[in-house]
Amino acid sequence: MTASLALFLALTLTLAALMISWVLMFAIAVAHRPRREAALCVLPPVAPFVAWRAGRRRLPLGFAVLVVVYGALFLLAELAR
Amino acid sequence: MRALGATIGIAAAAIVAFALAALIHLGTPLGRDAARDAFVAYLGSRVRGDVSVERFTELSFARVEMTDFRVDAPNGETVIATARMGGNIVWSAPFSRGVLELRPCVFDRSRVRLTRGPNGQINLVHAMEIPDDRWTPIPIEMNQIHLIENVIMVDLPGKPSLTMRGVHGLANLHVGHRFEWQLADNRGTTHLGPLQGGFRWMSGRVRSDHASPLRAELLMDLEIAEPGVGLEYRVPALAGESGDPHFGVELGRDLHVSDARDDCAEGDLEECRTRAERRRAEREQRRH
Repeated sequence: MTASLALFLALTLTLAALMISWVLMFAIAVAHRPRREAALCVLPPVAPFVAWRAGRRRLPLGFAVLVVVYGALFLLAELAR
Repeated sequence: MRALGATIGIAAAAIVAFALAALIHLGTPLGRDAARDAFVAYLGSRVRGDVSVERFTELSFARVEMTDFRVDAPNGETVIATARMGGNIVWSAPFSRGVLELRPCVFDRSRVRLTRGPNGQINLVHAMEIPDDRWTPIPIEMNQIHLIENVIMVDLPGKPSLTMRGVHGLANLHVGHRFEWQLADNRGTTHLGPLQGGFRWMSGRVRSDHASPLRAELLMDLEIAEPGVGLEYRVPALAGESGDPHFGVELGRDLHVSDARDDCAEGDLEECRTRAERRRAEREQRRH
C-alpha cells in the first residue's frame, strides 16, 4: 500500500468516524434541549457542548480526539504535496 | 430483533459515512493520487503486464481521466502508451451488464503496438488480458472511445511492418478474462515500406476468447483513400489454429500482389470474400 493510499484511507475513516459521532451527539443534544433550541445543535460545536452538559462525556471527548487526528492527517497530506 | 435492527442501522450509517467521506476526499489531489495507486495496484495485479499512470487529472462521480497510461508487456515492450485517457462512468452498467463501463471515452495520442508475444499470442493481448487463474470481480469496458492522433504499429511475424499515424476514429475495449479491442471507421495515414498514404474506413479487431488455451484473432481491413490504390492487411488467426496470417496489396484495377493464398481463415472465408467484393464495388463507385 502506498503512502498516499494509506493517508487517504486514514483521512476517510477519521472523517467517517467524525460524521457518525457527530450524528450521535446531535441525537443526544436534540433529546436534551427544548424543541426551539434543538435547531441550534446543527452547528458542529453546539452538539458536543450540549452532549457534554448532558453528562455524556465520552462522545464529545472522542469527537475532540478525532478532530485533532483529522487535523494532523490533513496537515500531513498538505505537507506531503 | 431490536438488536438486529440496531446493528443493520449502524452498519448502514457507517457505510454511508465512509462513502460520503471518500467522495469528499476523492476530489482532492491526495484522493486522486490514492485512486491512481489503487487503480494501478488493482489492474497491475490482474493483468500480466506492468501498468503505470502518471496521474489522475479528473476524478468525480461522473468522470475519470488520467495522463500517461502505459502497459508494458512481461518482455519489457510497451504495448500501449496513452498521453491522455478518460471516460464517463456508467453507473448502471455493473448492475445491468456486470461490467465496469466508461462511455464515451477518449484515447489521446496513444501508441499501440501489435507484435507477436509468447505462445503465438499478440503481445498486447498477452499483457492486457486477465489470466483464468487470477480472480477478477468485474471486467472493465471502455466503449465509444474517440481516438485522437493515435499511432498503431503492426509488426507481426513474416509480414512487413505497418505503421498507422494520425489515427482518428472509434474503438471499444474490453479487459477481463476476455480481451477485445475493436476499431471502427478509423482514418489516418499509413506507412508500409515505400507505400504511404491516407486511409479511411479502417476497422479491426483484436480478441482473445480465453486466457487458456491462448487464442487471439486480428482482423484488420485497411483502405487507402487515394483512387486506384487499395491496401488490405489481415491476420485472421495468429495462434496458428486456423491458417497463416494473410497480407495482400491491391494496386489498381487488375494488379494484385499477395504473399499468401487469396483467402482468409477457413471459417471466415465467405465473410472475407463478401467484404472484399463489397470494398471493390465501393472503390469502383468512387472512381466513377
